[in-house]
Amino acid sequence: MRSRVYLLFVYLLLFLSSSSVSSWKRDEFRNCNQTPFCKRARSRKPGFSSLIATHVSISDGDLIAKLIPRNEKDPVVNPLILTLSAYQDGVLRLKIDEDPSLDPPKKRFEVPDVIVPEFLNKKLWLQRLSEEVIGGDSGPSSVVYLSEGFEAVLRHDPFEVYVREKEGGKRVVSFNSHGLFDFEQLRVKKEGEDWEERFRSHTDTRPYGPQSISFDVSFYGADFVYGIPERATSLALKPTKGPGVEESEPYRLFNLDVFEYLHDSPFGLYGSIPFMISHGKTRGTSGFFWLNAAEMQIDVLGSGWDAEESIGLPSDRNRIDTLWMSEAGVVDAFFFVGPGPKDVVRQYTSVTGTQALPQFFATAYHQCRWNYRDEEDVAQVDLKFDEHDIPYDVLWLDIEHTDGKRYFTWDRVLFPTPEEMQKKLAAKGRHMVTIVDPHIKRDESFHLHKEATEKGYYVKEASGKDYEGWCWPGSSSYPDMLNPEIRSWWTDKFSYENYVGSTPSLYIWNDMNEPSVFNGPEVTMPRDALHYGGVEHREVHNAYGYYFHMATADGLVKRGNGKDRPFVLSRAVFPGSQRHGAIWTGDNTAEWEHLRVSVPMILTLGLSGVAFSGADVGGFFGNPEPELLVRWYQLGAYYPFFRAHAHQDTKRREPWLFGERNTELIREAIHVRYMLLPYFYTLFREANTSGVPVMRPLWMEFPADEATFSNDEAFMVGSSLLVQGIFTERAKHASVYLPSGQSWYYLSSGTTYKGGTTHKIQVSEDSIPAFQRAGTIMPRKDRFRRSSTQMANDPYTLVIALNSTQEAEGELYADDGKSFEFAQGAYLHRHFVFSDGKLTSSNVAPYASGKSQFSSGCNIERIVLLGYSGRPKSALIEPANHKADIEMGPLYLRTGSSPTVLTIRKPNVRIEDDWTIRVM
Amino acid sequence: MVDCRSLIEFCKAFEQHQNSYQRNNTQVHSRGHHISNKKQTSSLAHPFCEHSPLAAIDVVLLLVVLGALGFLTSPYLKFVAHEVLPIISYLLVEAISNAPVWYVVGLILAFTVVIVTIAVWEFLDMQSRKCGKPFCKGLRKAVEFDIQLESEECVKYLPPIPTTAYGMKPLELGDDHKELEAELKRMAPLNGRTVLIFRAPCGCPAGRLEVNIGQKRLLLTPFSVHFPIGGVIAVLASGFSTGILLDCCHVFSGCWLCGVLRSASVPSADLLGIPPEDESYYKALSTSGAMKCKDGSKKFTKSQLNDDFCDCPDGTDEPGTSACPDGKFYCRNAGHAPLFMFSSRVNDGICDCCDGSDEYDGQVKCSNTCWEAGKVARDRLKKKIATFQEGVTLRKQEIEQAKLAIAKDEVELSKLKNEEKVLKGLVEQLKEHKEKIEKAEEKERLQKEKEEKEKKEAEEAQRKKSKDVEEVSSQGKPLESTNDDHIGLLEDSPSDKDVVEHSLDPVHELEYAERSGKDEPPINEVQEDSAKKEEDSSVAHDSGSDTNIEEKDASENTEALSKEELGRLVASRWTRDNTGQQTGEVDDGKDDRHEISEEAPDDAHDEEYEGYESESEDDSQKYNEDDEEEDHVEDFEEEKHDDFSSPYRSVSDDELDVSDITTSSSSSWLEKIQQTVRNILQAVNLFQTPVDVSEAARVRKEYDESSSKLSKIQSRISSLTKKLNQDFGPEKEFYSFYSKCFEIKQNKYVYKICPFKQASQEEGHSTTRLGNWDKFEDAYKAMLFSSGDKCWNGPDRSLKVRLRCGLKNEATDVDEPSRCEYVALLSTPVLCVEEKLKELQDKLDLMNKQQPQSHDEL
Repeated sequence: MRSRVYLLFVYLLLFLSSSSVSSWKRDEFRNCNQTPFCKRARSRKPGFSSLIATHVSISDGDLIAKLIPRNEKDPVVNPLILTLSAYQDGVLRLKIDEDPSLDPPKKRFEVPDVIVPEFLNKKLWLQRLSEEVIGGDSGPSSVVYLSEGFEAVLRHDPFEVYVREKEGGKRVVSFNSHGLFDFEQLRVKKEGEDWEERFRSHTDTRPYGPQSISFDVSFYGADFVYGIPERATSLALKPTKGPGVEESEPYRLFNLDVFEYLHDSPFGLYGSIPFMISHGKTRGTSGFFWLNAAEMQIDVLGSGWDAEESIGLPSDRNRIDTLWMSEAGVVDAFFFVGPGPKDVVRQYTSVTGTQALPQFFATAYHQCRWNYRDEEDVAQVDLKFDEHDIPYDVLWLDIEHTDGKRYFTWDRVLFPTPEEMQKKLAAKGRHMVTIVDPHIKRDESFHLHKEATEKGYYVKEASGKDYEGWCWPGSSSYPDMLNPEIRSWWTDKFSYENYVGSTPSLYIWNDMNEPSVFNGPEVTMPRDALHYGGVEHREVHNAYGYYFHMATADGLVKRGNGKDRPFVLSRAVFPGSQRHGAIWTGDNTAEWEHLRVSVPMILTLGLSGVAFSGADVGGFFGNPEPELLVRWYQLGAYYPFFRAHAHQDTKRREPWLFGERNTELIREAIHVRYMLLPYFYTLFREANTSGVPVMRPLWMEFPADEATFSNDEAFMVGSSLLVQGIFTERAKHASVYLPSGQSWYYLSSGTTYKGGTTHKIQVSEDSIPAFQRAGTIMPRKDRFRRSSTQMANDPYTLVIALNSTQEAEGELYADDGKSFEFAQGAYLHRHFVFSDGKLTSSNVAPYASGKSQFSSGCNIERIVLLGYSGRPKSALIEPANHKADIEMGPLYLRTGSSPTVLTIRKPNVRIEDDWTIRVM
Repeated sequence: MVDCRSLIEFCKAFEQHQNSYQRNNTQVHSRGHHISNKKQTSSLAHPFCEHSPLAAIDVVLLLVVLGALGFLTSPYLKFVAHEVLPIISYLLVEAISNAPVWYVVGLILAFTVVIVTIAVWEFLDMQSRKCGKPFCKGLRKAVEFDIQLESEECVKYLPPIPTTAYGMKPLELGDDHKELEAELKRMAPLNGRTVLIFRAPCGCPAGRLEVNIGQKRLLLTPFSVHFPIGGVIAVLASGFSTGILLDCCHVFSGCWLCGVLRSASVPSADLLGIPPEDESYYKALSTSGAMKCKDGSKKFTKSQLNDDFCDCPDGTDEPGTSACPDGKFYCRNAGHAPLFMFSSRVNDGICDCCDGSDEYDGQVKCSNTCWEAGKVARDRLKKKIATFQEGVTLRKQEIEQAKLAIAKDEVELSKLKNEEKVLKGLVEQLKEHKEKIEKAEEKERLQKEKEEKEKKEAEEAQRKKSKDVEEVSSQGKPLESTNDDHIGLLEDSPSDKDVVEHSLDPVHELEYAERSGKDEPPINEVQEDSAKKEEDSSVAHDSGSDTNIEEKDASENTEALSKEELGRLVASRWTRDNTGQQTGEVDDGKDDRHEISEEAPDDAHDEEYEGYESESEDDSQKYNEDDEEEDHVEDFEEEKHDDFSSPYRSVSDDELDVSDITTSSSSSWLEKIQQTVRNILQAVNLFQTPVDVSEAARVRKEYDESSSKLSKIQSRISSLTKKLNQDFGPEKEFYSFYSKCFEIKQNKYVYKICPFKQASQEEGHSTTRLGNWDKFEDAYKAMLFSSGDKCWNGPDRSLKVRLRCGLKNEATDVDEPSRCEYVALLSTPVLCVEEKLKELQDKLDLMNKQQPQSHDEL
């Protein structure tokens, strides 16, 4: 006995010494080899598929065909139905499903409510198809119109679908070019068949047997592929299979709550967006999206992966092949032709929707911690921000604010007067966010649980009874958000009557909505749990959090009678999440490498339509060194979603806790964000209208500059601002590549740098390198208030960075920042052009039909001219016909040595008017 | 939106009163004393406005007088009617009949003259008072005036008033002119101007005075208004200049309406946001034209002052607007304390200054709450001062006592050192003596043995011979044998060492006890260990059989867990909470799990910690076997508590049983010992054989006693030295803290703070060490305890005790603002420093000075 105890001690010690190395429990999660469908699909050789397309016809404006085995003895039970449809703006949709007329055991799941209704209206009614024999083919191919310049081709034998350029016939994206297509059809279980899958202590009954789908997709003229969030890895996706790839594991798309995730790992995190973008210098950009909510694994195949079984594809040096595998669902895939990066994003967001325009306050700084303990703590933190003159807009409350983790309730000891508390914040124009997670405490006295149980609104076990999992409150159940009726029920919970203690300044945070189930397989729900309409959880898994996010956002809209824009932050993400709010990258760690990886993570989300995203500033786990924290603030100020957050076991890290100097640095970083809020808001509007993200990879702005393609340490905020992160301790210098074409103005000094080269730039602790691109005009607001709310009437500053031809242009969008009135035209959208020594402001917004108007009383108080040749003395303002002085003024209104720049002093023109300012 | 209404409008009637005119005039000349003069002004102003309560009596009196008059005059009227009228009528008839034409002409002429005179009189009168308002009835001998603050927009966009317009007559105010102009200038808004319009009784402008900011544009011509406006304005202006507008309202409350101004006092635009001490700095602007920003970076002109555009990055030119991010805005807050604010608070729609002066752009209306807020603040300050006043005395006493105590301790220490020396000598002597005795005894014993042997032999031989002899020898034997035993015992081990060790034992025990209070109680440690071991074994027993402990991959073992256990386990990664396999309870206070629960190495380990964890809560029966020790610890702690009230009993040092060597009787006991030793030494005859048994015992006893005393003294010396080496503050004011512990209960925890020793958090039987005494911080305003028990995933626990002035020594609050970093508040008279008291008093004086004098009457 004693020796046993001894042994245990030894193990304990052994464990303690080794545990710090890997906190992420790799073994708790399945790898491809432990996932039968992935293992099967990956082991197939090119040319595996023996399907050919027959019965090709046009029907209802679509191209329809049947897929049957080439040889009848091949083991495909039933023919599959293939549908090709074309949509405006170069989007091709491919659907492959079982033939419903042949009575499959069950209808396969198609993800509802993701494709926006407007997209369906953009369908082109295909009129005719032409057949031609391409290249050395034995059989014909059917060709249909896709868009101006592009055609869709269905090759009959072997079956292959691709998009090509009309001129020259160059391929863009192709499907099943390597014959890896496989579609496991549903079967009825026969005697003796064992379909169960076991992983660790969990058993998946798999009542419908194997039903996976896999295929290969090739991108042509591509140097790199990007996208398929969410994972903590590089922006350009590295090959996962092929020569030279050591640890061969595909990119996994399976929403999981991964404790202390590692940077630089192909492992899937909280969200899944099966959308991939390719980009290359020669051809440009194209994209591929598979709408499917089941577990997905994607291989990026390194060149030479198929060396042994070369199958004579048209030789294209810059082709990137990928293998897509999913456990269930149907093929519902979209091809996007580009040709530019912004075109592809626009095309993709035309399918899944663009970023919802956030309220103005939500674009400012958020202060969060697990947990602000009580009302006094909240009041103290609020006060300290004021005392230190640091603006913030939102204070967050994590799970501990609730009564025993029952959401929609308050711990009345810690938060006896939540309304008062929110009103006090609201009096300073500040807002509050509370957390509402999908797990509902199984407690008979909890009304929500009672109601959900009575109405049968919970996700069910395979056996039919309510599924019980373990999460923060202990034993919990999960409302079935796939069901629109349940979503509608959920939306009512946010009304002021139902959510006692809520006020109009309260918004919501959805965490744990992957869903996270502590005692479930891989910390989530069992795959055989049952949803609305008999849908298995395996089929809908990746979209569960999306529906929850959607229902919550709808709830807030309903609460405000459709007048108040919702703000809901979600951790889980799926295509379309951008329509419902913001996303953050989950529980990161206070390490430099996590700071570094936050950039590609946010960029990737942005490329996938999710423009409003950010990472926890400071790192969720662990205690950042002050330097890391400061650097994180300096970078985080440029994240689209800017929030500091920390684990409850970490030391307090509000901005003023690290000495005066660091307080100053953090204040400065936050001020930068507030100064740029008009610019950010304009970018959010751009994302809202075109899908183009706020934070962009360099190559999105400079698609022809090869040096930018794999750069994920620097990024663009909009088209005017380049930001380079500092990811190392005590950095003295930074190598910054400035893309070619124009010169760049260093943001903090106004110094010019030439484009097209890598500069070694001196770095101080004051800021991270950021540059304004020559030829742009940025709107700023240089007065720092307590929160963005008080900035509404403040005057603007315009910063004109002139290019070599003494020209520049820029935009400004503004509205009431709160309501949906902007959709009725209640906004102002100005276009500023500087040329011939003259700045002109004109209206971009089409004159609204008079429904509603937005009027701003704001003036422009100063205009900064960077790179102006000559020394003008005054400016003439027309039509008011008065003069303003031009003098050397500070670039930034701060004490210390701000460089002086040419400044038009008090032009006092109204932002909403048309005017011209002539520099004389 | 341009609001061109006059912001401030005074419309007042004022009786012309020569006296008041003169008084007010004198006031202008002595503005420094205007406050004291104001009382007079008000007393003068009141008669015009007083209502007599005896009006009814007046009326009655009037009627009576009238009645009397009527009675008196009636005979004369009768005489006139009957005698005089007939004569007049007769004469008139005569005249008309004689020259009727001339009579008529004369009559008409006389009539015309009268009417023309009246008409001319009336016309002139109207011209002077009605100013084109024919229906104005006018207020005879009354005066009105307006002060209009015209903003920049007004000045720019309103059509200029033609100079020929009625009432554009510029004014000359003589001596008061400059004063008035300055005051008006202060009031002027940015880029705007102030216009003072004097009105004639119908409200028509009778003259105006315009003061522009920027270019001076003063229209001045001879003073033609015939009423004493100068004085009135001066009073008003002086009110403005000091920001005590409420006073002005009060002074004229009988007849004056201050209207708008009551809600918020608007300081003049020029001086907006400028503190009084800087006013002269900015005044230089009006003479020099341009001046440098305070940071020297740039220059700005008078027109750039508060023009809502930031010229100086440091905010020099924009003290009153939000244009410069680094600027500071000064609120006068009359009635309360003045305040500097970040200029970002200006016109942000939130009332920050209690006088509302930070919000002047009309977005929000801020009411003036300075009086109420100021009263609260003053009361609080007064209370604080009272505390300090008392506290200062207590502190002095404390210091006195500390000095005495330290002196006492030092005396004791030196005495003890002396005693130690003496005692050491004695012990040495005794030791020597004892050894000698022992030697002698040994010798004696050997001899005795020998003798005995011989005797025995002899006895053997004799036994047979005689029985008498036998009896004699047996009598002496028992005594000898006891001696033998004793000596034998001493022989077994080096004798002196043994004795020393023995005598030290109680000290050791005490030290042990002391330590147990200070550190992780060793007793507890033992308990925990044993409990842990027990748990270990039981765990090993429970899960060991089905858990493959050879498995290095710990997580593999989660398979063996039930669903719920798995849930808890995974949850615990985020929370470091007890996975609760046995209890499921979350215990926030204890974090001893360290990395274990996070990593969940394998079940065995986890459960082991589980047990360790839960023992403090549920498994109290496990303590049963250790109950005695437990009690012991508790007793000890209770003793400590008792000490709270007696400041000079140290907690652990005095715990030593030194009652027999207490300083008071020290000389006597030492002397006694010395005496005894001397006696013994003299008495004991070393060369006497056989050794006197009782003598030997006495020597030994004396030796034991004195060496034990010596060690007690030595330990007392060391503890005293330790104590005296502590940092008790510059005036040794914290001396009494050495022997004190402070306790505060919060929720389920009891926090115990023992300065110079340690601090802990207790919950039931479990104690978490928050830290060991480290040092004073922040100039003796905080005590720091550091390197407490380790926190999971965090730092070692630490406690900072902030000290504040209070009349009692007590812990008032404890908090954990950051994970495992505790902060407590301790109030003590020690912190009631005189300088601070003075500071507070000055502050109160300042506040009292700023409060409006006559406010109470409002």
